[in-house]
Amino acid sequence: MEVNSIFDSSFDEIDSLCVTIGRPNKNRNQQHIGLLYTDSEGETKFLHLAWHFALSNDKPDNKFIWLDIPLDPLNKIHLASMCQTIYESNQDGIPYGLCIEGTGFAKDGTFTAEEQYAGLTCATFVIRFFHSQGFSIIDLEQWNHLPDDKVWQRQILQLLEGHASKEHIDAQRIKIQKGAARFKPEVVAAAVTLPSPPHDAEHLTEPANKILAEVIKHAQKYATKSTQ
Amino acid sequence: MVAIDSYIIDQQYNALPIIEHRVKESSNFNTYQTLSSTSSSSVVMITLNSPANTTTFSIREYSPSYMKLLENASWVVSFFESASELNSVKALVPYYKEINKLLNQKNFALCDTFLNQVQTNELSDVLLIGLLRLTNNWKSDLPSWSSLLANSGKELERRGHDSKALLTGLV
Repeated sequence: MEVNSIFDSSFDEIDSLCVTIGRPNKNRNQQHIGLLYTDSEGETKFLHLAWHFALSNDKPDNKFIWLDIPLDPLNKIHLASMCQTIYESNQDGIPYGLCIEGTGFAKDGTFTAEEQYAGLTCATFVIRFFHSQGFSIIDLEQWNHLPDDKVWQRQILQLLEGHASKEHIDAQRIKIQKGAARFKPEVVAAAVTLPSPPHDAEHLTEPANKILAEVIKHAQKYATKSTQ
Repeated sequence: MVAIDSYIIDQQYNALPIIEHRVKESSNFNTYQTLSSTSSSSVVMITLNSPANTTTFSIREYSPSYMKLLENASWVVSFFESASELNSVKALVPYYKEINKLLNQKNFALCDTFLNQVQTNELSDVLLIGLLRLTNNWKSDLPSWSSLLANSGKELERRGHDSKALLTGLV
């Protein structure tokens, strides 16, 4: 697994599509994930679900590392085209939600939800992106929710207060109580970068921990360089 | 190749014979528009482009459903003409959006006609994969999807690609 960062590579060198992950706030133990792709103008863009109805298509973030995806160039070009299509097809944004069940992208790139208050996290956005194009990176059927998932989910729910409607937050609360599996950004990054998908949780634990270690190392290095 | 300069075609396209032709798709579309706007005569003489300036080699069935596709989605003309060169994000996104429009409108019949008219030997390498992935979620509504999959696989192999690897998740 080759890890790239601004300290040893350039965003211009990405091969049509790769996954990017970082810790935007070095004081918070929270990672964020998205996709880097080459758009129709030849510029590298960072597509990610930043927050509730905030699908962003930004310049790449120096705080993030990026990892190559083991796919052929043809599929990468197609997926890069889909990144731009998905962004342009969802100008109203995509809701933030804590349960991946009942969500997806239609092949036209439009976000679809089976129920009113379904949504995605930054990590499940990446999962759904790949699954919608026929690349099942994670075995969702075999993925169980863990007791620790609820701790993080309740923190996110607090942050969501004031940004989403009461009905939307209440719906998320019910999903948490029922048990909604969490997909950590580093786990999804591992799933995207490992060959022979779909992957289960056990298979992803070790590579996810390695990616997390790289993310933390980069965040510390970036913070140090920034203050010099 | 037999040189074809003109055809006499019944204006009522539902009475058209199946025409095998080797002309640019834009010429064919212009022909169809001429037919549509000429209401006073039932028979018209149309000059097709000559083999000398032909750059694409299409053999399409000019069926009523294809004519309807041309009426409602005229972008397919330029798509068929340039399909072999659509291998970059810049080139692909405009057509992906158009196909999306058909799917958004749940216009599966037109989309299926489009897939049915696609000739895999005219598609770029990316499109051989991309068209299938783009429409995969709707394949139960698109009867032509399966044959496109089979033909794309054969064409990828013919071009020396590993079709099983490239079409992973679709087969």
